[in-house]
Amino acid sequence: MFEIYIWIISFVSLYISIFWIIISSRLEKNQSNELKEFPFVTVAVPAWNEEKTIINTVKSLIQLDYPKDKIEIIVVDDGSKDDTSKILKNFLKKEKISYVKVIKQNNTGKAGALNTALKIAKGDYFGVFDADSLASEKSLKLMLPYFSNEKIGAVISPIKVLNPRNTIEKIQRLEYIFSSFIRKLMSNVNTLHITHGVLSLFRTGVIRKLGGFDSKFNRNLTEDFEIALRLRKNDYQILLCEENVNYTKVPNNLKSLWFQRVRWFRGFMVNTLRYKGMVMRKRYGLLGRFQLPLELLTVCVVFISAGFMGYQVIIRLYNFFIKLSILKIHFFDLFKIPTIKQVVLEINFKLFFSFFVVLIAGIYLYIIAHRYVDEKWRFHLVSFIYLFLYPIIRSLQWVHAFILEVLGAKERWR
Amino acid sequence: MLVTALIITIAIFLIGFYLGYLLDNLRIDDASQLLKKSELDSESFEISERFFYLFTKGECSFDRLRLNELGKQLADMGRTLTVYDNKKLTRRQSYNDLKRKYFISELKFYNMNKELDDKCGKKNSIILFFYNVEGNEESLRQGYVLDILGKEYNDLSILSFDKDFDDYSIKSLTSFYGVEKAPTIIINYENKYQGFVSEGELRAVLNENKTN
Repeated sequence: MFEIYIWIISFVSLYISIFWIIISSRLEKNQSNELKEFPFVTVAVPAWNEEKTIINTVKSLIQLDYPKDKIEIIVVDDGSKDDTSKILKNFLKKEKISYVKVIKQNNTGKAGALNTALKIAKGDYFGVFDADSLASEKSLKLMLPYFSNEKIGAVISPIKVLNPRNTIEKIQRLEYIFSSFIRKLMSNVNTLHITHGVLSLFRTGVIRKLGGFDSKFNRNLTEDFEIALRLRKNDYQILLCEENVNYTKVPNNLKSLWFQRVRWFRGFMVNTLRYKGMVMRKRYGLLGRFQLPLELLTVCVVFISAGFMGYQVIIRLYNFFIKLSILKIHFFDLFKIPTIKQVVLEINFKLFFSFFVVLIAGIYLYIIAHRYVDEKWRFHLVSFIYLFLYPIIRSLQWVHAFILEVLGAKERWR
Repeated sequence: MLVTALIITIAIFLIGFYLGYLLDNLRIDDASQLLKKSELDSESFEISERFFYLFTKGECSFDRLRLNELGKQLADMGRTLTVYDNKKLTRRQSYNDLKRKYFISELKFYNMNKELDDKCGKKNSIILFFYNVEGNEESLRQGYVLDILGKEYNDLSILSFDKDFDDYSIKSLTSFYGVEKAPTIIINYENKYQGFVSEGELRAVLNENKTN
């Protein structure tokens, strides 16, 4: 049973790794077209208790290299308990900036805040920007040319972590590098289905036609994933503008990271179930026939692996303690360093060879992901944690998210 | 792309299987060689011992230390086979043949020991350990205890047998000693203990035999 399971996992992992390596081998850096006209753009910033970061976020938007008469920024203070809107208003008054609107409303959740901005948005394009992020100066000029036809519903950018300092932040730095790269690959094969909050640009008309952001579905914890799936369901494409990179602050301790991810994973489960009709549907191309089934399979594998791993850990620990209790001080007497011959002969190549290849493929993708986002790669303790220990933590987060979903635990996006 | 990825994946899997197959052969060869060496050593010992016995008119001048070494060699061999078995690393049939040969070698060693002890008086201790392969925690624990004692007592030989192994010689042995469950240990040809025996108890029995 265990062998069959390992074979299935290694086959699936190997298949996915090879698929992405093939796609990455055909990857070429885009040469972005120059923007000839400057359409009107609205950037919405939903904020909740962001008094520490809001000024820098808005500053980065004010500094966007884009005609000021063609841009409006709407900050929606969604019932903050701190001085987010007060601090921001003072800043705007002092700097005499008129194209930034600040709206204060009762807490409705992120989707509700975005809908408030969407209602009054004048822009042809609607940007979503989190209040703890920083935009690059050229963002709009680089992203807007990607809307080359009517079927492109949204454009996103790679994200980098803003000033990673401690280990938790550094692990996420690697995670964001890797996910930006994978998103690029997904964008290339038209399977991208996420519109994150670190500047996603939408066609305002399309979002309005689709009914805005989902604030009614009370169990929707990841409105960015939901709107992306809705766009894809309605045959709109999402592209990644690789030339532009925006920055975001990430959780700086395990607890906040844990709860952020649990919320994301719950959102993934809820929304995937909601859009299950897209799975294996030819109409959605590789997204329906490859990407979504793959993600569902990955989640299943994560759960089963967590179960198997848990079982193995318990059994091994139990045997270890039994052995320790019997052998006592002799425990280490029986320990012998194996010879290379013993090590080689005791490896089950039939079972683990493909795992080794997956590992090599993973390291290869890790390296080219760094090159892709112009980051230096090197192997250090954080890379080791990210590659080997972090997946275990993620598995546990998935299990936690699943349990909360099964129990129907209530949680809003914040 | 999907099909190309699938073809490459299958190819890598097949390479893994082929490498696994090659390593299976290496393991079988390695274990067979160890077993052959052990058999030859045993035979050589037996012949030289008979030679001295015949030509010195019944003197017991054989090397006890060498006899112990033969026992330890067999125990090491058994350990290697157990690792391969636990990890399901060899083809079943080839592995069973090896295991059979190994048990027969152990039994030969046991008989030789008995013969020498009868002729020359008992000086070494010998333990037969009947275990059960599948999910028998007590056998596992007993194995750990015997490992410690085997390491500590230089003059102790431990011979392990899979209680349920399908071979005539094992069946004869289990039926002779009335082995019903695993673990069972037989100390110095006659003292039978069924179920787990603690380190302390075994130590006491072995020390008592030594003083006798």
